[in-house]
Amino acid sequence: MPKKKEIVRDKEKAIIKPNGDLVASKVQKLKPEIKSLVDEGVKELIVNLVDVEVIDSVGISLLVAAHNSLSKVGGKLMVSEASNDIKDLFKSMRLDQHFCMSCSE
Amino acid sequence: MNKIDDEILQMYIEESQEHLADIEPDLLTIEKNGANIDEELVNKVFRAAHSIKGGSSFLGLTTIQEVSHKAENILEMIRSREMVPSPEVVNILLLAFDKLRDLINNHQESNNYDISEIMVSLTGLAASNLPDKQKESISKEIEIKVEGVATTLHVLEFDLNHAKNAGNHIYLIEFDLLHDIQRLGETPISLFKKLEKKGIILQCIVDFKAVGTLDDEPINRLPLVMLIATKEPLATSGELFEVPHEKIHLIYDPRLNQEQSAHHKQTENQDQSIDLIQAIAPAKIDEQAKNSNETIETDSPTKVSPSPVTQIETTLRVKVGLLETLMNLAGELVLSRNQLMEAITQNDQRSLKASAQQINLVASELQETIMLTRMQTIDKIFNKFPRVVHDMGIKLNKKVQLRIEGKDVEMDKTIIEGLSDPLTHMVRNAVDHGLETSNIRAALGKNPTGTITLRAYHRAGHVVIEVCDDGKGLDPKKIAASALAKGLISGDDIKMLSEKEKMGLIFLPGLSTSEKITDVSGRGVGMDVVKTNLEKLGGKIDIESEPGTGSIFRIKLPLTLAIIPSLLVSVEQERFAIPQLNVNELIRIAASQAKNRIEKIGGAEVLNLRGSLIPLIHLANVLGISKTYLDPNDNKRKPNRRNAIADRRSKSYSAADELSSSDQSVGEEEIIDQKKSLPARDWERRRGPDRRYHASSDLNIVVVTVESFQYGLIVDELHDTVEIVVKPLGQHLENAREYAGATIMGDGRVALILDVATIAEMEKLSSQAEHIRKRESDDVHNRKNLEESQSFMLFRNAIDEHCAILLDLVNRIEQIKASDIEIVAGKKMIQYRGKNLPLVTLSDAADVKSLAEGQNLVVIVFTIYGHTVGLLASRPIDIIEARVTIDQSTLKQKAIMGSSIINNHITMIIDIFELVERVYPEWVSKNIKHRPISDDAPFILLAEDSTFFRNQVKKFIEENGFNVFAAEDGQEAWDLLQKNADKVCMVVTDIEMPRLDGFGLAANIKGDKRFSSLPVIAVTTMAGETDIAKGKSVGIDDYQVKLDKERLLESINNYAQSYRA
Repeated sequence: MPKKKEIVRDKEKAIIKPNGDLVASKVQKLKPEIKSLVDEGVKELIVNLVDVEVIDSVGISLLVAAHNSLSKVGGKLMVSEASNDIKDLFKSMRLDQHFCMSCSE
Repeated sequence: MNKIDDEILQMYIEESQEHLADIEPDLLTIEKNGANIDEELVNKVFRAAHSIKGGSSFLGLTTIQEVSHKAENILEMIRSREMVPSPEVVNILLLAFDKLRDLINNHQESNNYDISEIMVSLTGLAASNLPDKQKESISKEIEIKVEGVATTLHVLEFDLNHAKNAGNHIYLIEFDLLHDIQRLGETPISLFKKLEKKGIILQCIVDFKAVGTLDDEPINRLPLVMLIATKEPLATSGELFEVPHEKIHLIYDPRLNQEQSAHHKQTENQDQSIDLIQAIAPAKIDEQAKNSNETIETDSPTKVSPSPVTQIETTLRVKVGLLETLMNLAGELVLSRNQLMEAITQNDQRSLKASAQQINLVASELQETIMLTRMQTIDKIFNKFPRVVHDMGIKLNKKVQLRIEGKDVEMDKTIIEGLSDPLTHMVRNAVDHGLETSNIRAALGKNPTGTITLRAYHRAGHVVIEVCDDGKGLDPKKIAASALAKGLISGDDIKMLSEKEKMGLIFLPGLSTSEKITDVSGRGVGMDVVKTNLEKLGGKIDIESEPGTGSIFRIKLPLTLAIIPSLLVSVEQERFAIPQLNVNELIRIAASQAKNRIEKIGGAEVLNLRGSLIPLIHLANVLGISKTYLDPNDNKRKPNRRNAIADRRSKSYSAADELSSSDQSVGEEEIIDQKKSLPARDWERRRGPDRRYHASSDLNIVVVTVESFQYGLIVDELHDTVEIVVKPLGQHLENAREYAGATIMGDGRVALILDVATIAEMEKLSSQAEHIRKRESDDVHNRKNLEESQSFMLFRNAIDEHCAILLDLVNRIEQIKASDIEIVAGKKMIQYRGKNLPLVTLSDAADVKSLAEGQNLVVIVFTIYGHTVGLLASRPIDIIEARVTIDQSTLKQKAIMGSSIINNHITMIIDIFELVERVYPEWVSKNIKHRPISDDAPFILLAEDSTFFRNQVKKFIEENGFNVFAAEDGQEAWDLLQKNADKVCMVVTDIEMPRLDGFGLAANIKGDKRFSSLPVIAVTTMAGETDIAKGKSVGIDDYQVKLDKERLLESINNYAQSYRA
């Protein structure tokens, strides 16, 4: 069964679950979706990485950009269900100090 | 600091110490509960941290404030359930509170302490959980700025120093993830994994601003600056990824030992306290900033390690109730004083006495109450052990649970303080050496979790503290082997040690049985220190251990040290106190017995005390007091030249001996000289009662215990036991080590307190003790070669005729008066419990002196041939257990089996059967009457290893008309039986025999077809149920008690008849 991309929205809170790796090719599609969520007034965005195995530099830059956009409107970006590899990476890059890494949905 | 501040500070310190004292067990409970938080408990710890913080900021104790603040933050997270109190979290908290304790104990220096390490741990803990806003609350950072790099990095000074000290190269690398990495087709995950392998990423900053927002199209930059510490220099940039050379900056090269191309500026976080330091000493900070190189490389003067000096408490908490009692007593004392003053002015004897009594009462109550204020509960030290055990368990990877019993036991403050270190050592030992690892425990079928039990309780005026573990126990052999290998003891000595004494070897300096030295314990220092420390407190330590099931270390301590019950003794009119703790027993030896009880071994005099030999010391000799005696002639004290306690040359003391005995222990020539020189009258006087046998020459011996052995102190007089207040000796008496202190007696005179341990040491008693032990073990060894042990009852016939009879035969002893004896039809009788008790005397059958009549008459009652009969005897009566060799020829006559030397006296062994047969021949039942042995008489095989019994039983049987084959052991009997298979009609055997025992012999016989129907009768000194059962199972037909001639012969006859039929 192909994995499904999901977007759940509840007023100022939204959960987005990319249906595959967070790499350059996917980011092209994902970026406008996140942007529209933020534009619609979402303050709390949770990116569920349960289906993400690989994240590349573009993927990271997307998350950073989303974080910056949200910060502007006083919102925040959270990451949930990341794999251990990704968690380690974020720790090494000290990104865990910016994104809440273990938020429950 | 002015006085008010001082007081506030003092209060703050005390309060904080109290908070800290309770925290550990609470934290451990929090850890145990895990995510299931007991809010009340967390709150309690939180409040403790909070109040420590509160006071510290007010008092300017910045380091304390910082640490407590961080600890409070963590606790807050736990409280709000943001953080689970995992073992790691609690461990860091425990460390933080340790640091706080340190800082508070040394509060004056505390601001100079290095707290970076704990701050990093706490911050790291918090950071992993912290929301963005609080992320800045990082303790001390160093700013690293490189020319040409836009981003400045902040890195924890601690991390940086740590990396430098480990000899790392430190690089600052800037690159862009999109430009430098993405283009190469490398993912960040694999890149960072490579980097982590290469070294430690100290800091990494992603330039968020450069990325822009979602609105910026397209995202093409993801710049990154990182600080990395690597062991190997980064040779080429291409080694990892394509980063231009100029983007890699070497910050620190361990080879050059200095920073390059960068300068740091130390910055502080926003904490006011740090600003405060800067305000106070800006110059210092500047200097540090300039020479940060030095400050990092070497220990900066601002970093002070906690001084190891343990803090001695200067204040004490006392219950208000107790203080009130003291107030009341003080009031009463004042009242009594007023009464006393009044009585003195009035010269009123009656009220003088009354107020003296009153003061006496109040003073003793006052004393007791004041002593109570020094009493503290032992949980003060017990409380720290959950932590000790917890930490040790983690370190050694053992599962340990600690049980504490008797927390409420109270002891003197001084003892409690002194107990802390030895107990810690013992508990650590128990976890480290005592308990096995969980795997081993599981394999042994034990609970994988080991248990350490700390127990305190009162026992006979002492406090007993036990440290128990359910681990592998002490192996005496291993300890002995280890002591031998380390040359602490000789092989010969080891042979003489009991199991318990071998265990005691662990108290030898330099002994450790642990195979490998751990950093926890096992360096071979410790148990000896533990022992010395405990002895300083007046305590004793004892080990009980069972291999496989665990050990108990038991410490016995006095309740208090300031007032100790002591025995007063005197030597040459001078009084001395011996602490009751050391006193084991008091012995008074009559002068006439001295030479029986006291022996000389290797030049030392020893006392024979219930079989063990105890070295003796004359207290006067030790203390250098010249001995005197009271001359009965003119009642003056004269110097006493006697040194030997027991004069071995003199003969047994008796009225007759007195006349011939020589005086004193002077040489023979001297006696002759004296005879010549002394006027005739004087010589005559000397021929009177000897001074040595005078009551005043009786020996008073105090048996004292020191460490593992006892010795006797000979003193002139024993007084009573009093409670004395110990006063230290002045400096001028510092070298008089034989005294432990002094005390003032009720009459105002001073008595010195003896240090019995030092006295033993000075007299080199321990080496003597070894000598004696050798002698004792020789004795045991010798005895084993002798006959088996028998119990005898000793009595006298005539005053100088020593007799003995086997105790097994005796029913009871009755005391009678000579006038109670009636002579009826030529036979002596006595009315006893409404019946006639026939009496016999030894002289009825044997050619001995007639019985000494008078006060000392007793009747020894036997049951012989179904009749109760009494043997008239004379006291003293004694019972001994001895292995005696019986001479069966010299004194052999009717009713006397033979003789032996018991207690240095030739003693006749009485044959009560023969005696009774002689007086009452008609009692002997017909079937066991003496029968001559006919030629065709059947043979009985008798197996008995004791010559005495073999001959006795052989005689019975022969008298009864049987031939006897006698064998010395089971094997010989078995050989004899096989040779004479057709002749033997019965076997009578002892049970305990060398080579082949009675059970084995019976089993052989019953298992052989030829002999299976042969009756086997076992004779023993004591037939126990289990023995009988065992005997039955191997086919023994009957059990008889040795020397119960009557029943044995009946049994033999019964079996002989049935066998023949």
